[in-house]
Formats: sequence, C-alpha cells, structure tokens
Amino acid sequence: MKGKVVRPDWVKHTEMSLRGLEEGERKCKEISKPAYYGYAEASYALGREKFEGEMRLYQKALDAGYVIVDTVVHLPFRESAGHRLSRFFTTLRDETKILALKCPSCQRVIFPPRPVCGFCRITVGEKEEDWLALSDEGTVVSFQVASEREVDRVTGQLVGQPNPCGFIRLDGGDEWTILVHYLEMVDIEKLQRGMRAKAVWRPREERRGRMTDIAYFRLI
Amino acid sequence: MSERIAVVGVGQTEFKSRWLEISQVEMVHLAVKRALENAHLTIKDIDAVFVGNMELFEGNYQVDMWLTEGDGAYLKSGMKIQTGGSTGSSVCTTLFDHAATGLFGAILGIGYEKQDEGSSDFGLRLVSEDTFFDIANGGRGAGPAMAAMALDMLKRQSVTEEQIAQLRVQESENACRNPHAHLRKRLTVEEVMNSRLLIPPLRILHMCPASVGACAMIVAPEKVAKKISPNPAWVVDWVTVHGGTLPPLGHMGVYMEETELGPQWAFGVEQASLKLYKRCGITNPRKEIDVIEVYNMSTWHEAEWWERMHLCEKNGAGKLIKERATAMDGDIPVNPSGGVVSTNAIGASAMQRFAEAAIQVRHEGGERQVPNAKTAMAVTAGGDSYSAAALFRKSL
Amino acid sequence: MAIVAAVQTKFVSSQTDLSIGEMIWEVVGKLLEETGLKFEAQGADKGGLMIDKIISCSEDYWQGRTISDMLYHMELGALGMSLTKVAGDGAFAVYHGAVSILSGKYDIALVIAYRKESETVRSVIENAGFDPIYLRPLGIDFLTAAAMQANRYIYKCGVTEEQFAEVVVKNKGNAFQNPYAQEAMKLTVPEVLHSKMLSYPLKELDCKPVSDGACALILASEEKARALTSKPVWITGIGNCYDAHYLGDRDLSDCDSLQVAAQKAYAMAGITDPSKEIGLAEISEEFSYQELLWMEGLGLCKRGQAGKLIQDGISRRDGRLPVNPSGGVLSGNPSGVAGIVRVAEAFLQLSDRAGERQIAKAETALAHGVSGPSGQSHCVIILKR
Repeated sequence: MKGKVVRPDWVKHTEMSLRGLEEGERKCKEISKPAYYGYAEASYALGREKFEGEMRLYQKALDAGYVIVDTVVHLPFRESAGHRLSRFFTTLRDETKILALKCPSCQRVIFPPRPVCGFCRITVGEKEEDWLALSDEGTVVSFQVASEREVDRVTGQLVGQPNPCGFIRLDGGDEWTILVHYLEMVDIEKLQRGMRAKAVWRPREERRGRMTDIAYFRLI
Repeated sequence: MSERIAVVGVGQTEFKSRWLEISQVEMVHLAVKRALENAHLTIKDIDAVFVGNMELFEGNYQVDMWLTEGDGAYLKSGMKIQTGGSTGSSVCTTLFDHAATGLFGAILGIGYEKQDEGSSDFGLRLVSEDTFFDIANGGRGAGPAMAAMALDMLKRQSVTEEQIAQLRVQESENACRNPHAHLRKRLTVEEVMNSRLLIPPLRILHMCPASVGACAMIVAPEKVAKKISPNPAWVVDWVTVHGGTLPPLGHMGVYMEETELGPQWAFGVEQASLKLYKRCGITNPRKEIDVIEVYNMSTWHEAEWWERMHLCEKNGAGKLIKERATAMDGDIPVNPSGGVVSTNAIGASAMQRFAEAAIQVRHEGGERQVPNAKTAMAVTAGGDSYSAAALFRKSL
Repeated sequence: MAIVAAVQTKFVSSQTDLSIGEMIWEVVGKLLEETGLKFEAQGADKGGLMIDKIISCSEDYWQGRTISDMLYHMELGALGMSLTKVAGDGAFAVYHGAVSILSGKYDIALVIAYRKESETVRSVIENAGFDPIYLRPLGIDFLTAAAMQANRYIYKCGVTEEQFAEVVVKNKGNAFQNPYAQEAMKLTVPEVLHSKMLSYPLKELDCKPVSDGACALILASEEKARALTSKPVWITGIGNCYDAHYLGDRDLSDCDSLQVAAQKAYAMAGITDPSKEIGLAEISEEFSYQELLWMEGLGLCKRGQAGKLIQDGISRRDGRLPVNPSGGVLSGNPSGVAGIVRVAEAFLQLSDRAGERQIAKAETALAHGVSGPSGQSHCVIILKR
C-alpha cells in the first residue's frame, strides 16, 4: 500500500529548526574568517541531511505499509529560582556582579549558589557572610564551536548560534568555579585553552535577571 | 535475608540504527522471550519485572505501564528505575538488591532504547541541562568534556592518537564476533586516523553510534538459581557511586584533572572499582579478574577507564595497547563484546555490560568467549560521574 | 527493619519562593538534624551509624529534564553515595528502600520524593503516560481515566456520588488538624456535589488540587533502628503489583493488582483479616471514589461495601478504622509524593508524633501508594509499633 507523506507534525518543527540553522549559516557568511565559517556550513549541511534522511525513512515505512503514529508534546515550564538564585540574578541585573557562596566549614566556593555544600551537607547561603562576589573576568578552561545541535531553551527549536561557548573559570572562585557562556565571535584558530576572557554586559534596560544579561565574554 | 544471587538468563535483540517495523513493546518482548529461553523458564516463573528508561528520549511518561503489554509484568511486582546517569546499570543493581532479599524467585530486568521514536537527541542534549545557567552549553552535549579529556590524555602521554586508533580496531574486531553488536565492521588504523574530525582530537570513528535494541536479564537467589540453572553467573557483589556535578557544568561536565574529584566521569568509575575490589578482596585486578566489560562511550574512555580501574599505572594505558594486553588473547581481555563504542542503545548499554560479564562466566559467549573465564567484572559510567560495578564468578 | 524519622514540607499549591533544590534540602537537612546521621561518603561515623543508600523518587517529565536527579545530587547528599531513582509513586521508593535494607547490602536508607506540579501542565504529562498508538491520541489523561473508573464502580457496585462526596468532606475536614496539609476545608456533601463538573462524575472537589512539596524518611535495619531511636516503627510487610495497561482490558471496578499487592504485604506481615487487624490506614486517594475502591481492594471491607462503610462513619478519625486522618491526597499532595507521605503519616501515628491528628489506639497501620492510570500499579506497606 503506497502512502504519500502527509507532513506529520514533527516535520514543521524540524523545518523551523533548519531555518534557524540557515540563519546561523548566513550570519557566519558575514565573518570573513573562512575557518570559522566552515563550521556553520557543515552544521547546516548535517542538519539538512539528517532531516532529509528522516523524511526518506518515513516515506519508506509508509510505502512498506507500516503505520507510524506521531505525537508532538508541548510542555511549558515555569521554574522558580528560589531564594539564593533570585538574589544571584537580581544582583546580576542591578549591580553587574556575579555572586557565589562559600561553605563556612570546608571553604569551598559554591557556584552557582545552592542551599547546601555537597561535601559537608550543611546549609549555606542563609548567613550574609556565606556570600561573596566573583570577578567577571576569568580563564577559559575549555570551549566548543557551534554545531547543529544548538537548541533554543525557550522554543525548543534548533538554532544555529554561531558563537563558540567557553567554560570560564571566574577569578575569585576556586577549582570548582566554572561558568559556561558564549565567547565572542573569533576565528577558530584563535581559540586556546587558558585564554583570559571578560564579561560584556548588556545595558541596564536590556538586563532581565538572566544569564543572558551578560551578552558574551570577550577575549582579553 | 541477604541471599547469594546469580544471573540465570540473558536475552538481547539485534541492535541497529532504525527499527521502524517494530514497536517498543514488541522489541522489549523479543528480549524478554530470549532471556526466558536462555534461562529455560516461562513468564510464569518470573515474580517481578523492572524497567529502565529515560522518558524524555522516546517521550513516553511512565512507559513501564504500557510495556506491561510485552514484558510480562501483568499481575507481577516491579517498578521503573530512572537513575541519572545510568539507568541500565541501575536496573541491574535494583534487580540484585531485590534478589538478595530472598523474597522473590526469578526476577527480570529490562533496558532498551528506541531512538528512532522520539528525539533522544533532544532528550539528551537540551533537557538534561539546567534551566538557569546552561544557555550556551544547552545542545552542545558531551563534546567539550570528551575532547578535553582526550587532549589531556595526549598531554600526559597516557596514549597517542595512533594507539587510540589501534584500540578502536581491536574494539571492532571484538564486535565482529558478537552477533548482537551494531557496528560489525572490522576497521583499519588508517580508516580510524583519517575519519572525520569532530572536536579535536575526537574523530567520528572514536565515538559510539546511536543504536536501537533491548536487553533483558533474569536474576534469582541461590536456592532458586541452583534448581533452575545449570550455569548460573554468581553475582558476588555490586556497588554504585554518584558524582556531584554542579550546573552549569551539566551532567557532561568538564574534564578537570585539577579538581579533587578529577575528570568528571572518572570519579565514579574509580571509586566504584576500588570499592568493589576492596569488598571482594581483590588486590591485583589485572591478575585476579579474567575478563572485564567497561562502558566505553568512546575509545578514549576505554583507555581512561583502564587507568581509573587500576589495571595499569597512571598514564599506562598506551602501554597496555602496545602490549595488546586487553585484546581477546591478552592477559586482561576487555570488552570482548565490542563495548559501547560498537553498540549504544542507551538504556540497554549499561545493562549489557553486566549481561556480557555474566555471559562470559557462563561460557555462553560463543565466538567472543574468553576461554576459561571464571571471574568477570562489569563497570559502567554515565552522566554526573555515576558508576556501577559488579563482580561475577562461575562458582561460589 | 524500621522507619526512624520522617519529614515533610507543608504542601502548597505553588512553592514559588523555593527552588526544587531548596525544597529538597529542606527535608533532607531536617532529617539529618533530627537523627544526627551523616552519609557514608563523609567517612565513617562513630558507632557506624551512617546513611549508606539513597532512594530518590521523581520523574523526568515533571521537570522537563533528562536525568533530572542529577541537578540535585548535592541537595540529596548523593556525592560519593549509592543512589537509585525510582520513577513512580513515593510508596514504591519506600518499598525499594526496604528491599535495599533487606538485601543485607545496606543498613540505613534515605528515601525522598519531591515534585512541583505547579511548574507545568499535568494533563499533558499524564496524556503522555498512555500508549502512543491507541490511547494517547484520544487525549485522555489520568482525570478522564479516573472518571471512567468511577463510572464503572458506580455501575458495578452501586456506590453513589454522595458516598464519594463523604470522602471529600471527611478528608478535607481531617486536614484542619494536619499542619502539613495544603487545603483544609469545612464542607458538606451538597457543596461537594455542586462543585464544578470536571469529568463526569468527578467534580472539582472530588479531585486533589495541584500541589508542590517533598517528603523524606529514614529506614534502618533492626539493629541500627534501635540505636537511632526509642520509637522505631517496624515495616512488617511490603507488596506491589502491576495491572494491565489498556483500560479496556480491565474491569475498572476491580482492582486486581491492588489485591495482589495487599496479599503480598499481608502475608509477609502475618495478617489474615485486615479489616480487623489494621488499626489505621493512609490510602492514596487522588480522586474521592478511589478511597472507597481501594479500601475494597485492600480487603478492609467487602466488595461493594465501602460506600456504606463511610456513611456509617467507620473510617472517620473516631471510627473503628480511621482512614486518612492526615487528610489524604485530596487535601493536597503532589502525585509521585503522595505515597511516601502516606507512609510518613503512618509512621508519625505509630510513633505518637501525629500531634492533633493522633489516633491513640492504632497498633498496626497500612500505607498505600498508586502509580499509573486508574490505579494500574499499587504498593502496600504495613507498619507496626
């Protein structure tokens, strides 16, 4: 029994993802560094290949007479940051300061703030002296460049954010202090572990008490 | 209470990249049927059924409810286990705990993955990250962590890239002897070294595939095992250890040799292995264990795990590769099944390490059987440095 | 093997002030404070009293996050520890904790369940709990599945909507004496009957409200329990069981899997006539009719008799067999946590810590949890002074 592909719901979503990747690819064309551009191009090609492969398989299954029932689940979430993270994010927004906690017992820096020291199993963050401010400068201990698997948190769509992301050890913390954030757009060849980076903050009117209040980290 | 226990049956489906003509229920049913056949039991002999599954991979909430259609759990005990980061091994330790109570006869555990349904890409990458901090890492997955680990291995001269390629070839040779493996092509060193670069130094042939398939395992306490099985695989002991990742590191974490917990996944593997050795009185694992199954999500991880399991000294993995010590004919065969790098149906992979270790001491390994295997160890690793380890013996 | 301590949050409709991590730490921290226990990973304590197993209970779907427990390992105390996560109702986690101790491999287990229902949409998740081929496309969720069961129960056994309403009046009234209960309400049967119809015959007041909260307890082997407290509450029987999935394969007015689960627990506890030997029952009734139906499945009364039983006042706090003196799930517990709260409440009762809701004379208590649509899987725990 031959069937025609009747555009299942997931196709619409995947097509939106591909458009996002296309957008990322276009943005990369503006960068005149060929090495970097190659990555976005490859991402888009892989994404497209994957999608076309899935459509082909779906058609194949239909042609073979199999029934495939498709579902798309839309599930919105509203997550509360809680006491400590609310303070963290309002401080980020209002003072462009990055807060962390220190365990009064073992002195480890707890970043991001959480209610307990995982090692000592004691409450932290209820006393003022538990809090400290980290620098907005740090060392890039690892990084990754864009791939086709970028996903937008809010829409769940694949997007082709071209910036590399860095694992940045902020000054003022300890070995456990790592912030993951975007790095500025640079040629891949320029990226090295151990580079120094500094936060580029958005203007006050754009800051909302989210990690994106820092636009990205620039290399210094 | 505290009965001695044994694995009395193992069933696996074939593993491939897509299996569109079969539903999850049918696939699980196939593995269960094979496990029952292997154990010479019927479903009537099973007292409890346990399922492991990460619900956001296939998008089925409480999938253990639907799976009762095919796994025989109707009017039997059981529950669903979903421990991050290794559901498959967690199902096994749950099975072992239950069997050791002596409250049950034979009990059944299932691990499976049907990645062609749902979007495990989505399930794995986006949603396992933290809401507030992983804006940049969301979707990027394990890449940076694995690459960093590999770079450090090169830096401290634990292995060379060519040795990793040799190890990958060895893994592929093993997989060719395993009828259930997904990737069953014998590779060459050139192929591996020239395969597409992902994040340096990781190459595509170093990485595990995304597989579809199911694994089922039947465990019983001593008095039942002795009655029903001519060759039980005695589970001498089992341990599990968790790490403690902090977002925004995410469960994939960052390779940080300099933190006290070491590289993210390695903490669990090392702690679990050492704990198991101590409890079982093993002082020289390389000599006292005949075969090991480890969770090698990439070839680099296999080498790293050898060091973490103290099979060699620190930075000694390359030497083991040079000596072919972990090959089938070496003195400490590792992953005769081909391991995770040959077959990765996520929910099943961890269980398969236990299952394959049990198969070895039961001498049911066919072409992949390590001759005269009497003691086998299985070690798994997963998100947030989770690790489970168990020791199997042919006789008590 | 016994329960030595239990802690719960005050259940609320929306815990926006606390993050999930803070909510978890609230109960874990309190338990550690109360018992003085440390975790095995912290190094052996004097007397060898340390938690060596953690059973957590939560489901990824509710947090929109794969391996969701990973984010809370620090709050769960799991660094370096052995942790297993049960995905289902909290009573099953207690069951697993009991099994881990009975296995002889662990001595002291921390069992914890947590959920914030307010953060997402229940019906979408529950719909995804049905098989994707036949049932899910119908758009049903656990409410509509329960309504089907309630209808069948009425048809088969002649129970009435008034009798369902009695459950609501009793339980929400009991909640006044429970400081942890979310919603205490002084109701009459007509008020319940006139509340908004959600899914015939279930009305708004027949259904539990959306709820956020956490509950944790400590289980210990006999030897450790005696060292930890002067009033351990013994777990003498455990049982759980699955039913079929397709609603049409079951007679929804029967609860075969509950009967099997209960039988297992009773046999282990040496109970032959539960209607006489159980002094107090905490039953998971997400919907009013379920308290009646589950009572029959548990053998606490004969089939079809639970409606009469509640009208005779038998299950009131001052009755012969108090059921849900805590106010039950109807007074507000998140699904997934409900079952462990039942166990915690039974523990508080048998250790004389139940404050104003204390039932004086109970020797043996029953705690029950349920998972899956229309009670597909049940778990029964028997506790004894």
